[in-house]
Amino acid sequence: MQDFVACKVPFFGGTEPKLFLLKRETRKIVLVMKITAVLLLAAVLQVSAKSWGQERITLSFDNAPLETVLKNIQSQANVQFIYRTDYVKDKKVTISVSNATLKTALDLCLKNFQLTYDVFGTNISIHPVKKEGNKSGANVVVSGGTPPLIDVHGRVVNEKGDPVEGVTVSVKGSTKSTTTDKNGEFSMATVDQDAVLVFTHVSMEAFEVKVSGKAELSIRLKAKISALDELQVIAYGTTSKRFNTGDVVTIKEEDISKQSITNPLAALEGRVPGLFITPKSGVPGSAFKVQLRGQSSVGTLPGSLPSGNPLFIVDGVPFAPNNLPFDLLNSSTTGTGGLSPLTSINPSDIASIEVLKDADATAIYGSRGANGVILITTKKGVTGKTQFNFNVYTGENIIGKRIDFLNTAQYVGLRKEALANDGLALNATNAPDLVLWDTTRYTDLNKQLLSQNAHITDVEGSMSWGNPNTQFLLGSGYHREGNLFPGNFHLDRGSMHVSINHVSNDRKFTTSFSASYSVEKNNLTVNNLAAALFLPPNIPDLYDATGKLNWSQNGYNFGNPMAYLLQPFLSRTNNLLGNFQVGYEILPHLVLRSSFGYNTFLSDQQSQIPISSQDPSASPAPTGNANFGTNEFRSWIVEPQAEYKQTISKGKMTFLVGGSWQQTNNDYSTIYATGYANDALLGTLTGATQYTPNSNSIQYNYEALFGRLTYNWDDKYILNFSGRRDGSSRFGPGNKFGNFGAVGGAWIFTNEKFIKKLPFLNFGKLRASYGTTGNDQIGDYKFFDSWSSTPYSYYGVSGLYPIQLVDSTFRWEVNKKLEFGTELSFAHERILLSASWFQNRSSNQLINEKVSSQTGFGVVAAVNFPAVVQNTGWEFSLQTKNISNSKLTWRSNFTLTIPKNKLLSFPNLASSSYASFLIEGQSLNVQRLYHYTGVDPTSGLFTFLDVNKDTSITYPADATTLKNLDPKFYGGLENTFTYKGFTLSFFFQFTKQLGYNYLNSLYSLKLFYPGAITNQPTEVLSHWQKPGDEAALQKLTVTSGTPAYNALNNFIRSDGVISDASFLRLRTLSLSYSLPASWIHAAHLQTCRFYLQGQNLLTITSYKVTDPQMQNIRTLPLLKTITGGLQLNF
Amino acid sequence: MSCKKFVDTSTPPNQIISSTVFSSSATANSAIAGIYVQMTKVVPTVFNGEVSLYLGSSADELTPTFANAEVAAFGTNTYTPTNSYIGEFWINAYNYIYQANACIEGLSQSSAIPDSTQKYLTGEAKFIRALCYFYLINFFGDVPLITGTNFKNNQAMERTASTTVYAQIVADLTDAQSLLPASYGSAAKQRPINIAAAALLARVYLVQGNYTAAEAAASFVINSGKVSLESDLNKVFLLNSSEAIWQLYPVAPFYNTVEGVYFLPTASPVNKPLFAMTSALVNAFETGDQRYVNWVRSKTVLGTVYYYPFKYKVRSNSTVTESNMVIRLAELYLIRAEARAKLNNLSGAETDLNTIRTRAGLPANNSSTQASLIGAIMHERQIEFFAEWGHRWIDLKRSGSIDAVLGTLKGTNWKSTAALYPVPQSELLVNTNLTQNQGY
Repeated sequence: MQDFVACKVPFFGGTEPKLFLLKRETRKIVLVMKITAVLLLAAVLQVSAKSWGQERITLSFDNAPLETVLKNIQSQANVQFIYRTDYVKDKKVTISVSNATLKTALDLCLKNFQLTYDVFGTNISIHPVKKEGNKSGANVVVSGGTPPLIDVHGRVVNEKGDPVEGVTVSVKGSTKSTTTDKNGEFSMATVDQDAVLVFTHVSMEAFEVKVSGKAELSIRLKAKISALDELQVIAYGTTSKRFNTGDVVTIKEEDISKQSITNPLAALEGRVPGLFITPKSGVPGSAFKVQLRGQSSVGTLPGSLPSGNPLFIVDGVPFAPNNLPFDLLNSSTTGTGGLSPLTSINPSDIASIEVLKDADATAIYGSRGANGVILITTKKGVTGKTQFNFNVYTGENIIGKRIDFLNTAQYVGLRKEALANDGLALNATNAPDLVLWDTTRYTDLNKQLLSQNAHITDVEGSMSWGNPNTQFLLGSGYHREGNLFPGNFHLDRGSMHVSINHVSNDRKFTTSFSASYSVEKNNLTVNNLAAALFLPPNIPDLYDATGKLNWSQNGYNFGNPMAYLLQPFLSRTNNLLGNFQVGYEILPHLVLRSSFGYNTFLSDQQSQIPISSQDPSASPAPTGNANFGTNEFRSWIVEPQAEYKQTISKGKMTFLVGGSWQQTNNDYSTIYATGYANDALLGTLTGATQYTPNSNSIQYNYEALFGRLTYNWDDKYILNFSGRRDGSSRFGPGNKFGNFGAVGGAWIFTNEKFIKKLPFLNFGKLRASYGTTGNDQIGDYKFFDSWSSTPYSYYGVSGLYPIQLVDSTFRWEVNKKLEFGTELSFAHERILLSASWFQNRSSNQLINEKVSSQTGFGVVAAVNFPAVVQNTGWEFSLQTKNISNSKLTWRSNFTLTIPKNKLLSFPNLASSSYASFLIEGQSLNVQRLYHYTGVDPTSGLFTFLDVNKDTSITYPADATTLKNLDPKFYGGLENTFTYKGFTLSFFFQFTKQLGYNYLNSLYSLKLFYPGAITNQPTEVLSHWQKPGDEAALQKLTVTSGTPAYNALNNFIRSDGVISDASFLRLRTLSLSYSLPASWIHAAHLQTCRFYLQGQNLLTITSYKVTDPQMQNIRTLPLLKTITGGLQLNF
Repeated sequence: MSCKKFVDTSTPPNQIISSTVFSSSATANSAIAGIYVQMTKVVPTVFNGEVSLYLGSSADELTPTFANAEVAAFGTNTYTPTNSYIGEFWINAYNYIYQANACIEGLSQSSAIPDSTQKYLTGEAKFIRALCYFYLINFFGDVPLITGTNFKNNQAMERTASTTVYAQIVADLTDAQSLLPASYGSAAKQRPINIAAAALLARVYLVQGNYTAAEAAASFVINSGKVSLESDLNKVFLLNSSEAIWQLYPVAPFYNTVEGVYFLPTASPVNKPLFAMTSALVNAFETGDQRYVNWVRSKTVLGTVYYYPFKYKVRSNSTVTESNMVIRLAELYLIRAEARAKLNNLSGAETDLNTIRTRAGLPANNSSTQASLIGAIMHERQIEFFAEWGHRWIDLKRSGSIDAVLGTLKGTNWKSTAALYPVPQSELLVNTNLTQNQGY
């Protein structure tokens, strides 16, 4: 690539190899070329082609050279002729046509010369008419019924026409092979005239050609595009990995399409060094926690550190809801995270996802870039004939890890033992489940509430077309994913995507437009069915004899989980994202451009509690309730920019300045409607007797001026300065503006003469960056000492109440980022290694500070806190081509992140409200706990280390054990094998970490611990029963205040609830088979690919009972997904 | 520069800034009304039923019948510093105090509000602040005395001696009595007037042992002519009953009072009342007491008889006919009776006591000694105010009989340190200047 800021027009975008087949004897050219090859040629010829159309031709020539006439046609018809000059030499044409079609004009021109033509898009190759019979002059050997054999000779050149030595030429399906000599020539005797020859070379793209009876072959191979030179999307532009001074990781379309996923975030798990992603629940549509390079804010409440989401930008438009849960109503089925707005983006529309990590890459986003930036770029049309792509897959979701529950006998035994331990005789008060219910019946709720699997269907179709000036793409997709809960619960998403790019003939004017629209519908339940699994196993019949829901037996009521299935939670979202860009080269080297973006994300939610799902014996008689919520985000952004490029001495300079104006409006409202007399009316607002409305709207305004200066000296030294002045409406008067900037530098030392000689090292770059970014992620209006309306009026007087404690002097949080990195490429780019070390320091912490409740609120809306949080880490990425020959390729991709989080300083921590929660020098995620010392065999109680030896366990004196819940390291390993048409890829994700174990879930919910009226995992059978027992769990109790009860209260504050939650997960397994090109050409197919894909098929972990990522036994664990599909391209 | 304007935003449509709130009588009035809404919008909360339920359970009145360890802990007096209900008492009371402080500050700085309006709204705010501190002291003992809104001054404040807090309560109520109007207006009994401040003042003086002042304050209320005893016991707790001095109007949909919801069982034959009266309470009624006839009911579930309070008779209804009775006239008669007895005006005391006994259909009391008369008054208070705003719990504490009474009833579970609730653990963590009560 000529310039490191790549040309946006995908003129060079083709990646297909090209070939000329030349029959030397007859001097006849047969052009069988892929369209991209022609384009390359056209570019070399420096012929400007106008946009392709149906222009009419007018010609008037008398005995003019054919070449002259053709050139005239070319100028009128926006076509490009390709021919050998000897075909047209000495040929004269007399022609006179007016308003003729191109076909007519050409036919008339060529009819006298035994010439004909083939059309490839806007390119027309002219060649002699084929003659009947074998006129090749080849040495044909005919024997019996077998195909004739011929001797083949050929020459292999590169794109410049230079001969390529050392190309392996082999006959497909046989062992016959040879290599090219220093002239690029090869010879092969007695080759089947229908044989396919395969050309492979270490630095050229592999290529296949059918001999088709031709004895002379001229092969042009295309140099492999180095992974280092692939287009790299960065902030407000593009570069390449080779010349980038910042740290950017790209996840490409092919990595996403290998995975059967609903949410694009799922595609990133384990694949990007420094990016730690945790799914919150196995329920379709649920949220993901996304954290780039660690926790940088100390947060509102210890134990609930803020999400610290990166900034999500889709096609240049900030995604309005970012990665925050958007559901206003509660569906507790999705666990603690709610619903993810990113589910509304169809992963199939995505061309690449860029993760921007260091100051150099993110400082130009100013305050919004503090937690990193994730750029999502959607697919665009490519130059070439109309292409259709069709992809369909279908499959099943299967529960990942099912909890084994106690059966009735075990449960009843446990209950009786617990009551006996507390000296309680069974009665209807303390043991209604044993006294009033049948203690022999058994219901397997796992079977009742969790199906074996849920169906997934995904259909995608797209078409694209383009000529050198204009390209477009239209795509549409539909995704449907069932739910493991019985009933009609599923997620549906329909989406459309359009992209149009245009560049004027003189290449000065560029414009592009892209839009995506999706409609998503998610049917869930209001209540958490995963928690309903914990109902006692001797629960009475869920339905009575008449088929109605049963609510009680002998007067003891229970929450019937089948009623939950009648209480729907519906979420509908509409997401429209549009971006329009226009640019003009106003002066040589100076381009003015502007982008305009718009995003609306509309969410509608409803939850319903019909009468039919309620106990009819309740008094007063139950009525229906329905909650309605709408949550709308609308955002627009305008970003005018000017870019100036100039060569100064041996250096190339690019200077970019721009401005950014952004507004995000969030309007939301909820209406709680109660008192419906008829279930049929629940979907509407009419029919209720009482309404509780709530609504608000929030506006966030944001503006910036930014600039970037890049200087590349001789492709050896690159310096990159960027700066930004930001204004945000989130700060009070006088504090709204902040300045941020960064400097990045790179040294491509392999371009130094003294290193160039190293044969094994193809490329080496050292880079460093330092800069500051800010953070305003504190929420809006935090500086207003404001009052809001109360939801009800008081005896006819509407009420007002103060909503927050304010300290309006808060300012920007500052993040200082330092990074050193290197990119190395060895052995003809078969080994590509990236390594980086970073240090991010976040100071002037912007938080809503927890204070004592005696202040009236217990929290101050926003303050700056004089704490410094440091995240450091090592990140590695290693890509290797272990085997690469004509038959088999084996590639590996390995990433590893070793993060470290540390509270560097916290002035006056001891006297602050954080004294009990944070520790200087430790991670923010460190838990201060009692040390659990096992179950005392004599007393049967959990015991703990009495640190201060005062014979009682007290907080915080005895809580001196520290457990760091940050991941110690994480990453992924992918291996991809390609053999003939088969591709096998498996990706393992791994994380080494500590986490809360199932005992935390068991004991921390009051009244749900072992012994209480609730079922338990079979693991609890291993508990203390009599003196001398060595057991994992203590004696059972059901009564508050007993020694065992007090011990379990201490237990949940001990390291007994922390376990190793490390795992190695087969995140993606993908096997595909593409039919050979020769088979499908007849059907006019380019690609016909069958595939089988699996997600999360295997997890190796010592973590017990549930999933090591969710770490909660009452949340649906991660699902396994198995799908099979078909992709057609024609 | 227009750039700067772009990032200037106003408050969202559902908010107004503090200075605007106190720029008109209407919004200032809403700010006071907002405190009452905050007190009653969540069902139940500390002053919306929980004092009746949980203080009654802590004392010898009620037993929770449903399985909830934190609620059960009140019945067994085994509450811990992490008990979420106790945490709410602290958090909610201080939230109301903040609002009252904000109103007092805002009203004092406002020039746009007519003087009379400014006075009575300030009086209401001070009255609410005093009520909150009175209960905080009775929950926790010494508590931080917060009288301003600046969190920087307040966040690390240590506990203030309860005598100092009481002094502030008396000062606030004395102010309130002079600032509040003398007659009920359009808000009827749902907003306090001067006799509400005097009534609460009488209660505080009684707890402080200032009997002369208690008698005077009680007489001020009794003689005001604004309230009178209901002769029909079934009408005492109705909305704006003649006996009501101040009621807290229920704002949450479908609710009348939390007491109605929690005490009255549902129609289902298997559903018990959520809180049952202890046999000690049931047995304390004298034969022929009309309060037993009108204010107590029972229900037999699975062979067990559960008695429950029936003062409030509406379990739930979207039409409000019953309002949460905070202070009613009967209390003032018994306050004055007790104050007079302490001041050795036994005949005056007996007159007041018998006013209440007569209404209950009981014969006049004829105690011969001061001690027996005071005993009779305490017993009368137990019956008259059972399951009502924690009167019994506060009486047991101030009379010093709590160890004897609860020691007998609750056995070895009872510890005298349980007379004070623990300071919430979460507060001790964020304000290291706070100390925990004995026994926790």
